[in-house]
Amino acid sequence: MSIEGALRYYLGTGIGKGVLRFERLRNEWRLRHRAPKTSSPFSPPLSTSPWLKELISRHYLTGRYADAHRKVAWVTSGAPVEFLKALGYYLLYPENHGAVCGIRRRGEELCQAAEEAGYSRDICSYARTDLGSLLSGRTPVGRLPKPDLLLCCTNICQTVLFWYRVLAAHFRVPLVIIDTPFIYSTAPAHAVDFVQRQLELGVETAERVAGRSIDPAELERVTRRSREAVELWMRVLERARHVPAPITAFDEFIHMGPIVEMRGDRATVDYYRALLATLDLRIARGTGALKQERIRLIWDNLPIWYRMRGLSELLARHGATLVASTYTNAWGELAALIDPSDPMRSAARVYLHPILNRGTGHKLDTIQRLATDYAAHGVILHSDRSCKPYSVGQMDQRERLSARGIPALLLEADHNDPRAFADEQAENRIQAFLEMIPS
Amino acid sequence: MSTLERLQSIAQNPARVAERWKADGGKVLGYRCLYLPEEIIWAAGMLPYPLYGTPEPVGLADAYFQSCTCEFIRNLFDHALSDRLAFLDGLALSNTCDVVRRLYDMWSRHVPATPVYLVNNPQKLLGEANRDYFMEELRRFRARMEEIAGREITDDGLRDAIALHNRTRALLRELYALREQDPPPLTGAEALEICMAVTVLPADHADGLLTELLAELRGRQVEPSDGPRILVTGSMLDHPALIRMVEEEGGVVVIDDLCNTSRTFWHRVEDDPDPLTALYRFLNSRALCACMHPVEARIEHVLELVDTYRVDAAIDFNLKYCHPFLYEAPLLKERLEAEDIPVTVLEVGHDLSGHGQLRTRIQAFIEMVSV
Ligand code: SF4
Ligand code: SF4
Repeated sequence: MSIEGALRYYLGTGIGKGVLRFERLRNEWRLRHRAPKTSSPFSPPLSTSPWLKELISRHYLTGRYADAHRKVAWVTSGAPVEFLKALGYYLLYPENHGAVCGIRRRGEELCQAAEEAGYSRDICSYARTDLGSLLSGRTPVGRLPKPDLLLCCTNICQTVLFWYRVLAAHFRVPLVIIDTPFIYSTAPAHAVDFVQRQLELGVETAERVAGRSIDPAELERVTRRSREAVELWMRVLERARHVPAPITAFDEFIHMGPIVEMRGDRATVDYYRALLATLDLRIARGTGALKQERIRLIWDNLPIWYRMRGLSELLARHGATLVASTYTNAWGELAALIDPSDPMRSAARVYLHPILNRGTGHKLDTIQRLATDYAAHGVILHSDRSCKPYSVGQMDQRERLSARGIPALLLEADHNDPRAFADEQAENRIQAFLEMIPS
Repeated sequence: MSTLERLQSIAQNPARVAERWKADGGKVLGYRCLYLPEEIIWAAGMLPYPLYGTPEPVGLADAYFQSCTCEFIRNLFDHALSDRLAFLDGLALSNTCDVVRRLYDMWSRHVPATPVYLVNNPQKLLGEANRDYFMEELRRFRARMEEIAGREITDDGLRDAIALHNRTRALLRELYALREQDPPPLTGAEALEICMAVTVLPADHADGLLTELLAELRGRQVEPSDGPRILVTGSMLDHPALIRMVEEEGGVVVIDDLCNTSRTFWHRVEDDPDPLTALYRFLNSRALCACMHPVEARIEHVLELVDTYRVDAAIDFNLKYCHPFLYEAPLLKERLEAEDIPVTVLEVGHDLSGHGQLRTRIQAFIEMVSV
């Protein structure tokens, strides 16, 4: 890491941050002063939205220059990252980058680039988006920093193991794998020991790559902030239990960026605190995210990134919205397991328990609980062609939910590859489903 | 009937072996895949029975698994739902891919008559960081097998089972060594059927047949062929049709690297005073499947096969929707091509559909590598 690199890093991020702050202030001003569209079924955007945009853009801006001055790790979304944060790594989440590409409608083109290089169309569209971006050098965020280290935790799927070793072969950098045994009920002690042991080995590798050793006090601080952020996130989600819901899962899909990518940062805690206050204000005023909320739905699985707006508008036309999702919930439900006074043990436990590392029965229970807690009228199960651990079991879940009086729709799509989504058909099915719901 | 023909007829209807074993009063324990030791099942007095599918379109399982999931697994689940596996006293699965994990879920809910158990093996093999964990998983598996069998598994029983299965593995290695010859005395399609038969037979019975078979093949006269020597790789290929097709088009399939053939017997269990430790080391060294890590070990293994069997070209039969192998295909292809071994990657359906098109591609590939 040279002086020139440091200069580039501080200059680049410094100027960029100034620009982003200016944009945020301008956007905030506009939000406050522009008259809301009366024809829209939605309330005006959440007043913290410009802040969120600044936060996420700043993250990618830092990423652009990061490899000139800092160690960079590419990590999976379910990975225990606290120790990397404590070692000063800049973290890039290929899955989130994939989502950004999806939202900006670049998913298809990047998937195709990967397919041309021999990757099957049947593998996860996040992986294809990422590999396509890598091989073609194209990304909507300007530039991705090269990793010094890869961290892959199989607690979301095994796909990431297969995907990350392609990355390891490409970048020729150390790959730390946290191999998490599957959990059907709760984790047995030998599984927790095993994950902890791997974490300890992972720390050694990360220290070697960073050329410094971890400061236990810093690790504890990061873990504490992680927990704080996760708790706040859970409270944000729970605000949607209120009728009408002040925030929808569509909003949450965007607002979850920091909890995934910047968990453990001070800024994330600050942001969610502000968001919570905004929601409380909405509740106090009786403002819902939807002006006329009639049907409340639960969403299962990843969002369909490239059709978020279309779907939310379609639902809104029927007075329907998503009030909770198993996906956004996954980032909050484990808060109680995080213990800052014993970061390694608690990380081992926490990172064994994500919804995707557990049996389908657990997911069914979660959906049912959400349906009750959020006073939902029905469930949309997004059958995501890409994501087997999330999707296999949904047909069964649909039957069981219906048997318990909760109408459920299986919606076939893919989270990042629009070629697997038939607009008209989906629209008809959703419409028919909504008409069937008594409210 | 020659020994070869007997084995082939078993491969064509493996369930008969299980049914006969049952008729004699034994218990049958089905399993998939490579990362649980059949020795433990055998030492419990049960028949370890690897599940094979049949080349049919998926039926009942389509109500439980989306159509973009592994056809092999859906086919097995079809068998279970249509009572074709009613002879099983239990099913043991190893932790290989996302779909197998979900098969565990679906099986425990919808096939309650057959208890299912998951050996939650680590996926990162080699090195001993996983030792305490994996050993505990094996202890639990042993206890569960004792429960199902209703009898204790002794260390001596395990040692005997290890010795017995090592003998079978050694005989299969001998059989495969014959394929190094030019021309090999058996075809690739025959080798696949032999492997399938041997894996379902009781090991003590298989040994006798294999010994006879080896004698039979050593005396066999085969026509020389100038076709390219082909390596076949992939995940599961539980039907000889594709390999036969390669051979009909002039390829000489000299070695296969599949979940149901050479991967099952390539390694042997090394001696250790504690038989469970011996089994742990055995499984932990078996980094031969794309589900496992490090994948480099697997690729090195394929490169070694290329050397030993003087392979001219490789065909990667990628079972449709089989993720582990789909991700690996470009890596493997690159490595083999760097060694001047041409590779074709063919996505194949488990139900043998679309074979006309496959034949054309295989034909073109064989032609290309023959010049
Ligand atoms: S979408 Fe599913 S398969 Fe793809 S990386 Fe995420 S968890 Fe894994
Ligand atoms: S590894 Fe491949 S063939 Fe085997 S069960 Fe999984 S998807 Fe199917």
